[in-house]
Amino acid sequence: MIGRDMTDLQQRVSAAFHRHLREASEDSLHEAYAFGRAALDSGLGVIDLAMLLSRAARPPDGADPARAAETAARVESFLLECLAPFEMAHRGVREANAALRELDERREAEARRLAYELHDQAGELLPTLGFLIDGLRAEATPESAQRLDRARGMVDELAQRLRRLSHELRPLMLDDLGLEPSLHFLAEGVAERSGLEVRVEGSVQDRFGPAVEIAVYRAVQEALQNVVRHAMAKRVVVVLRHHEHELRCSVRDDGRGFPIGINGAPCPPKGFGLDAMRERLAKVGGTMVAGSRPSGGAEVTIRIPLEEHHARALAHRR
Amino acid sequence: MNPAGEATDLSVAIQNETDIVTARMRGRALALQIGFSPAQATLLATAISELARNILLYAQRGEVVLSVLENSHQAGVSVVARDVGPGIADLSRALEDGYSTSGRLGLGLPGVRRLADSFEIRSSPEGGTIVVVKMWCP
Repeated sequence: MIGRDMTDLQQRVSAAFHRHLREASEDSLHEAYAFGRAALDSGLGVIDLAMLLSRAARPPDGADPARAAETAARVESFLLECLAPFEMAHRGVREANAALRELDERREAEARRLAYELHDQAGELLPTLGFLIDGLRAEATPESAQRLDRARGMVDELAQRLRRLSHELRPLMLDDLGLEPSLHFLAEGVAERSGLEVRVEGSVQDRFGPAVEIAVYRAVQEALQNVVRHAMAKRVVVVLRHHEHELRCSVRDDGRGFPIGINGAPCPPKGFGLDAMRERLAKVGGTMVAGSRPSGGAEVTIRIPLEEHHARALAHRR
Repeated sequence: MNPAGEATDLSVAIQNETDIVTARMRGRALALQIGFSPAQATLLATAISELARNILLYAQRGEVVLSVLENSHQAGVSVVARDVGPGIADLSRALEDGYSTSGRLGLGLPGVRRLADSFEIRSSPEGGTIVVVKMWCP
């Protein structure tokens, strides 16, 4: 919002407010509502609006203390009107977030189904195929044996690729073995494909429930993809730590860091998938901070509060 | 309810900005009278504003009819906004955010739908548009 626009809006809202203090009519409330609507339309944030309102609502010099209650009631009705359009917009945002979450859950369930199909249904045929080739090879001429060896090698390779693909689609391993082994497997896959050196540090054997584990896994997956695509890095370290009340995971690389924004702070541009990552983490009460390190490279840190531990700690205190 | 047991409807013709103010005032008074809090009454006035504004914008004239709702355990207000304008060609799109300028901001019809406990809309090129919104006193 440009300064001049703010001054105009301030004058407009102050005039409307003083009119409402004088007459407290539906007309003056309608004006307040129209102001709120125009403020929303011009891109004003709630904080800016609150500031304009608080400045407008300063009691005029020589205000009659005997009429304080009446004034307070008029201030209240005026504020409610100005904020009503923002309430509508806010409900829209909440609804969109809920829809996004539901979509994400459906996508996750679908990915799980596909991963299972790939891993168990398609993956099961490959060992049988390998066994058949082995049988043929025993009776083959030296010449065709060579070709069968190549076929056998391709079956193994295919099995390996299917396993990786299935894992990235939905790490079924996450359900069976937990977060850390799954992150190791993920890191190996990324390293193999990209040539990056990916290390996973930490010794976290505990389980945190499927919602937390998949949120961390997906966030690390996204962060690693970002490193591969944008960072021009050689090495990445994923550190997983289980602190008393939270699970913390950071992904650090030695690349060029995030681009610098206009205020001088590193700012990852849209398309890094960080918003989606934040949204998914928010579902389990987690947060994410992305930034460049002083020594160069980027770092993404995920923190998820652990409720059971929290509850246990509280119980101890009682 | 009047003595005959029929719901008392309050109709406000909508032809200009002043009529919007009148409709808001009547709606707010009705809401406060049956026990809405000032904040809820404001949201009812907001819904009336948006519906009446749509009438002016797309049909030039129409009416807003207000009535008190009652069931066994709560009271509420129903707002019927009616016009004989050209109708809305694509209803489901009109209820999406981003279809109109107001919708883009989460206002307009999509905004009203979110404020209301129930929201119904019918529209045709012959019969114009009718929106029925109900808000209950919690």
